Amino acid sequence: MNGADAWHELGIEPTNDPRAIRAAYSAKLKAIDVDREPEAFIALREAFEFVQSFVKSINSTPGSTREAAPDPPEEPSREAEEPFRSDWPAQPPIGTQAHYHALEALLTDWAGQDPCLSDGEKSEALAHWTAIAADPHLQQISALDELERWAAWLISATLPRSNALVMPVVSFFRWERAMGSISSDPGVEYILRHYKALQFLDQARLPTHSHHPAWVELRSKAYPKSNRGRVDPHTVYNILTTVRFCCPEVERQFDPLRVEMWKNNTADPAYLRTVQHDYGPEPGGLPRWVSWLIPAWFLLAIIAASFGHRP
Amino acid sequence: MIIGIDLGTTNSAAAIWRDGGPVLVPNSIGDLLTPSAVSIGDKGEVFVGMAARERQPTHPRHTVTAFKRYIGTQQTVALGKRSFDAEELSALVLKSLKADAEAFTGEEVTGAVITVPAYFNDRQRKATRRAGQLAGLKVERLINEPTAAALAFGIQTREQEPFLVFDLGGGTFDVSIVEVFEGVVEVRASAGDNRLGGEDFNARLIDIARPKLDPGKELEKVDPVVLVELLRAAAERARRKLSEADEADFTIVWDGREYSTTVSSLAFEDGCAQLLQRLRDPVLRSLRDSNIRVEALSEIVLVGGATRMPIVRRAITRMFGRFPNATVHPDHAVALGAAVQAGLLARDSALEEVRLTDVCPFTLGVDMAEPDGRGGYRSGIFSPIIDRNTAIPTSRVNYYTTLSDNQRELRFGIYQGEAREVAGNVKLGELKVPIPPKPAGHVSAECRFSYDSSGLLEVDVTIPGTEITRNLVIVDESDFTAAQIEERRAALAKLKLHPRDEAENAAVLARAARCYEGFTGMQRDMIGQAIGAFEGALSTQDPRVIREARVALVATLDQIEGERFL
Repeated sequence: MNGADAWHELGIEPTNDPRAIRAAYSAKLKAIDVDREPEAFIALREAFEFVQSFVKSINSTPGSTREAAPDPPEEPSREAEEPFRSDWPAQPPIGTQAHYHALEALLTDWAGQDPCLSDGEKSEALAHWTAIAADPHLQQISALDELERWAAWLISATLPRSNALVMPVVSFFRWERAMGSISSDPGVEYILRHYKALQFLDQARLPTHSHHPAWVELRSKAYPKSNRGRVDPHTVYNILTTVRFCCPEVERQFDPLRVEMWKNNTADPAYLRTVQHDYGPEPGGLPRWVSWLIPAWFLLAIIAASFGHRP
Repeated sequence: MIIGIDLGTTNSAAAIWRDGGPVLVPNSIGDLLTPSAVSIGDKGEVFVGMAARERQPTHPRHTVTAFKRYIGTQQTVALGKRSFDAEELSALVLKSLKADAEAFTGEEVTGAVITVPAYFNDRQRKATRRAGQLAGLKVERLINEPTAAALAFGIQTREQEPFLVFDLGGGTFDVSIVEVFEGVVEVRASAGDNRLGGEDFNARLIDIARPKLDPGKELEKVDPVVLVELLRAAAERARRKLSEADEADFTIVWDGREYSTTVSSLAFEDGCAQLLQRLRDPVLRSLRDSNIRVEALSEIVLVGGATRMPIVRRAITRMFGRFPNATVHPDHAVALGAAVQAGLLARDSALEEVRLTDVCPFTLGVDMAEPDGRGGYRSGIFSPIIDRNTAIPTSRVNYYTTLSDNQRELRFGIYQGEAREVAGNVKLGELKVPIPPKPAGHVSAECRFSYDSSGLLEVDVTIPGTEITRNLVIVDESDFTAAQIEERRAALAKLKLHPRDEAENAAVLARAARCYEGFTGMQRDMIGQAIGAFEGALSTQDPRVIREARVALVATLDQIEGERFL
């Protein structure tokens, strides 16, 4: 449907007065029997929605002269009623402002330094979050909505620096229930993938978990002449890839030499599959830190492959 | 004539459109609400409504309530010798409402507008429709409960800025955002939780009270079926008491002994914190879907009996930062709205200038496979065709192509839900289409979904460039043919219903029996004597004597347990 058709369907001249559009829609609607002529309703509805979104975009673009009605008296009031909403709030929402700014600064200002938070910074970040979450304003659904958008943006953009906040924030907004829904926010989806990965790593630390032997293997001290432990390689790759994607700081707990030993097999298809499937990022819309990781992996994989094929 | 029916979890109501306005229909005992309860008597007679509700504590194995919670499932309940599914139980309630409306108007009732929670899925809607058929009603329209409430509220004005209908009933929770302009009542978005209602608050109250109730663990010997009903009745009483006081007694009597504890309003609110939190999600989602800010809402309209609870009202006030509008009768609005819809269908002249547009509250689509980037395919991905909160009736198209060479068949699984993988959604049906063998990607199919005002989905698949078309009107697996429906209807009709004109006596007697078991000592003796007197009056068969004795018995019961509630 194009614009001319839509205005024709509604039976009015182009206008940006929402009231005139509604009046025309209402008059047309009353003239049809929706149950007997659903097609007529569908066509009318399509025209109505098309025109509404068109007018909305015009009215929210200041200085637009296209198809301006001679007298658009309520243009400013419409704007006040439904202002343009950005999903990336520049300003944090109401209340406890200092904590918002501090947390934002803590997570975003790290040029050239360690991408991970130190333990001290972690507890600082958690303290800020606890203060924000305790704000009584959040009982209001509008404030909660703002905070949710802000938190989804801040955390997804700063992972893995914001790792320490993933668990508390996910449980605060109960995002895990929204997992896998068609309409969920991409930022939230991204955080949830990290959440799953972090949960997996937490569980691997328990002796009962199937990946625990691999966890122990990676942490055990290796010497130049040591051999790899008798562990299912797949589990080691799972742990290594998860750590590298989601929380690089954990790799410090591993023995570098031991990790090096397992690296020889990183060209293994199983390794790559885990990377792609389980917790790997999907291209597009990713925080900036990923951009330097991807070439690094390819490089690693190529090096490992060339070593592996040496006769 | 067509009546409007609110078929609720706890209570049901019927209303008609008369003289330019909706009017509620009183039932055989003069109440505007009929408990959604069914009970089978010793001689096989069926009690519906108040009498059945009162029999629940005394005859737990022969009585059932809250069956709306499992409508659309295969679950059945055995009542005495016969087992019933939720459809049949609902049909019995609908039948009783139909009889009430016929007695009230003196006209034959042929059709009905029945309300369903907005978030009821396709199966639950189909089952509700069948329940209407089983009751001998032509179901003219199923209408969403919050939409009905909005209609009752909205026809009072010609213009109304967006408002939010907050409908917390006995078993379901729905939120709708509605706007009225130029006489058009337009639903902008609906969201809900099918498993949240007053019954869940009762369950929390039981969780709080149960451990304190018998430290000696004597109640563990009680038959669990009996105990559940005793606890539920006690919880319902305590919950209502908590609406007025800061503290309520939670008392059950079993085997002549009283077990009692008190629950404070504060402890109750604490115990319900999680339930109260669950109220937020549908609200947030409907606001986001309709792209309306909380500040732009002109009213928060409360509907549903559970919104009477102070803890719920407080939660709502905190959530929206203002007081909700409680001017609408929470138990009547839905039935009244259904009657307005009945008037619309009957083209009543008073409603000439009113139109209603509703939305489809959930996403509908098909399953598909997509390349996973490593040469394989990931199947079971949900591909939405009709997005949720699209105005209905609607019709949308999407195109799909083949994935492998010489593929002979396209199979469309039809799903409803919001999960990205179809495994998390409700499957509504399947459509298979034969296709000519060609290389992968060379055959495409046009898949059209049409969804009508009553929520009936039709799927058409055509292969452009060929003559191949397939059509499917969604009927779920348990669907019945017209003959089967007729057979079940006849079977239900054979059940001996307790006579309408004796309903009041039956209800009072059942209540007296419940009270007799629910009290001890002197109070029990008083009730016993009053029952004896009433039974004596009944045997005289003199209507005047019976009426006087009934009034006396009710007075005694009211004095002992306080006025009864619906």
